[in-house]
Amino acid sequence: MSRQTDTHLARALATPEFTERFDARDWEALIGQARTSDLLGQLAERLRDAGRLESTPSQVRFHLDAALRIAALHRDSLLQELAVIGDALQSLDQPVLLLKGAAYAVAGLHAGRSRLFNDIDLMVAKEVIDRAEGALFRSGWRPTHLNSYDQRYYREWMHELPPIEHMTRGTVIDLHHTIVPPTSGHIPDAAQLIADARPVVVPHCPDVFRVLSPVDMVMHSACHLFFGELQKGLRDLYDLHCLLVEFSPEAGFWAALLPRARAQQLEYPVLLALRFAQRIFGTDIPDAVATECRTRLAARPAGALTDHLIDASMYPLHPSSDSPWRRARRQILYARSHWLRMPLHLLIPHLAYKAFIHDDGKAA
Amino acid sequence: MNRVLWSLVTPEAMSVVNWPDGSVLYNARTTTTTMLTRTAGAIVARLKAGAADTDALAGLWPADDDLPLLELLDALARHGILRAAD
Amino acid sequence: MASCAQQTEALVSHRPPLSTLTPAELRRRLHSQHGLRLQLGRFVAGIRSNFDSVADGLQALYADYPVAADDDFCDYPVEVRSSGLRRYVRPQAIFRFEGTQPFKPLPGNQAVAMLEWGLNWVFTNHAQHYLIIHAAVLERDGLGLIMAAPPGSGKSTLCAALALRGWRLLSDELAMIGLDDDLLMPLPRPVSLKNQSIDIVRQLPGQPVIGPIAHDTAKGTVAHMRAPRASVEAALTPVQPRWIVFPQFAAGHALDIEAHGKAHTFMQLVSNSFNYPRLGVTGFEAMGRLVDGCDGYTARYGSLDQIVPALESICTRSA
Repeated sequence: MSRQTDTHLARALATPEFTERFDARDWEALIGQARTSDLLGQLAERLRDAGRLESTPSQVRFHLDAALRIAALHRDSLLQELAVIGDALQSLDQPVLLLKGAAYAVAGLHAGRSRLFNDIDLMVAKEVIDRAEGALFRSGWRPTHLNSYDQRYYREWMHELPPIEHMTRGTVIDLHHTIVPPTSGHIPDAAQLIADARPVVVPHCPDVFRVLSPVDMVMHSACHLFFGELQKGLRDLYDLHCLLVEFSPEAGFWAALLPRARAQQLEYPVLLALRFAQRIFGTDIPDAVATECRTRLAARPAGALTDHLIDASMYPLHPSSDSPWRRARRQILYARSHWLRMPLHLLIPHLAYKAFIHDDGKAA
Repeated sequence: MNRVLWSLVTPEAMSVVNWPDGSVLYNARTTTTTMLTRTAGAIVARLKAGAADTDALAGLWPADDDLPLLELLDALARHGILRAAD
Repeated sequence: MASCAQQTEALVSHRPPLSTLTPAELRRRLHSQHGLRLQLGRFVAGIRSNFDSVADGLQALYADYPVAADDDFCDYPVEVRSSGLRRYVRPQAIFRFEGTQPFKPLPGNQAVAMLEWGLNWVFTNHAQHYLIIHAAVLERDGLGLIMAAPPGSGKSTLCAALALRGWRLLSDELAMIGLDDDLLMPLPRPVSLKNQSIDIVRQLPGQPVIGPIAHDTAKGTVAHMRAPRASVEAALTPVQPRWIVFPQFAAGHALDIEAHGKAHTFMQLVSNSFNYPRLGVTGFEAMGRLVDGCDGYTARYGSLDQIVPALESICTRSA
């Protein structure tokens, strides 16, 4: 083997010039890792931004171009879906926060470009969550976890309602009222997060949506990564890296990040986020912040073991990166339908060979 | 005739293609693809360019045998394609 | 600078066909880490397998396909392996793509069929930037015929018959229409045949080569017919679509060909498309252009002798 391939994806994302002297084996590892990690579109975007797409061999470029095209379709679908959701939730007269991928895309952030979208994550104030769910039910969404144990699991223990799925389009919404599970022992001030959220515009959609402020967005991304199951570790960490790079030049961002995280009792995941983004993607972090980060993490018990476990999840689940983790099933939102569950014919409910507009049942 | 103004429900999300045997409508908002009669297709195509009143929609295309214009417009409205505003 | 297509053509013309490999060499590559790198249309699949039946099946069905070198780029690494300990008792065939296992295992004697189904799955899932219709695709007079129908409609038998009569085979399962150029992308592969159609095709003139037969599969008895060499050699030449036919076989039926209006053809194609719903308005527009440039028909028939001449008279450039 010409060289170690297990960090190809991370290194190519961090520094596209790294692909300069790739041979076929390197490209295979890179494309395979990106495909497996759902990062092929974002890799293509990164290469395109760095002006490296033209020099990519044509056989390889085929896959990158395909991924860009598919990501564009995902984005169109997302915007349409948000317009429907906006219509449904307009009557609430309350801010509705977009979280994660949808937020990045609508806010025009780099992390939102050429990505694939899964469930749509929304957050509203706890007092209105039942009304919000009711409004979505009236627009065609349906519960997915119907047994009472599951319902209680989600409502009481997690920070979200059980996912709801649209009855014809199959799109899934995860409705939250805070950004981490209450049982995690961390209690962020959700009202503060909502108050500091910024409005965003979705085309042809009522003005209901907001996104977290930059510091809060990084905080949430870190929580999502380190309180979740780490199955999409590298992808979520890449999002974090992109956010940090984008917000770094903003005045006051670095000064506010750790103090805000402490105030919201979410410092630990943010410390981990900074450490791993720097380690895996070489994120540029101001010296003062990096030092503080190192000091605080060193003070934690079992730090080295945690470090090791988390590190193992930052590799793509692809043979070329030799991951010990088994690949988990993943849901991929694609044209606003659930890829694995919904048979094709259910996606075209109004298919009509004859003119259906004669509503008294007469065939045309 | 009353001046009812018709418009597409979500014009930016709707596309239509017309052929002699009928028209096909795509609604990106609902992700539905629907076949319409030629007359209905002509109406949708006209309304995509902007709202129009009932008079303007009459005579766009030789009408289907047994459906008067107003009934057609009502049916399209009931199916969530058009809406009326006075 | 040569275009993508020209670069690929240049590469392919230097690749030897699989028939030039000795059986031992073929097996060595199938067992090796990089797999046997086989050119399928514009793609290279890296195939690994420890089944002898797969080696035999490849030799029978893919003899004319170009073999790429180990250091050529492989688009899709796949493998069909027998599982660990069970290998000696009642072996199971497991299909893997890129380290993932999308299907449950099948009995070991279905390994060749599993490779074919697995490759279909890979192409369907990873060529999402094409409009994909469940159809057989053949070329005549430089133009494309799309025969769209659900499984069990007799489409594959008809496809095999036309291919044996000299129509160029582009695919027996997947019509792949480029969203940018509206052309049909060839991906000629063995024609999959079920149950009685195996015997019907075996008796057709044109020296059909039928590969290994698998019994008791979920689809019944299954075998594959080798794609004609000329079809494989032309696999990099896309085709403009011109005719869309919905074949409906029913034993004893009289021949009945009905021309469709384009709106009706559109709707029927949508119900035969794998990924139309996922393509949004892009798919709608591509489907519209496809239908606009083609004549559409439903063809009901009771025998190959009826339908083949009828198609040959419809599908001519001068028509």
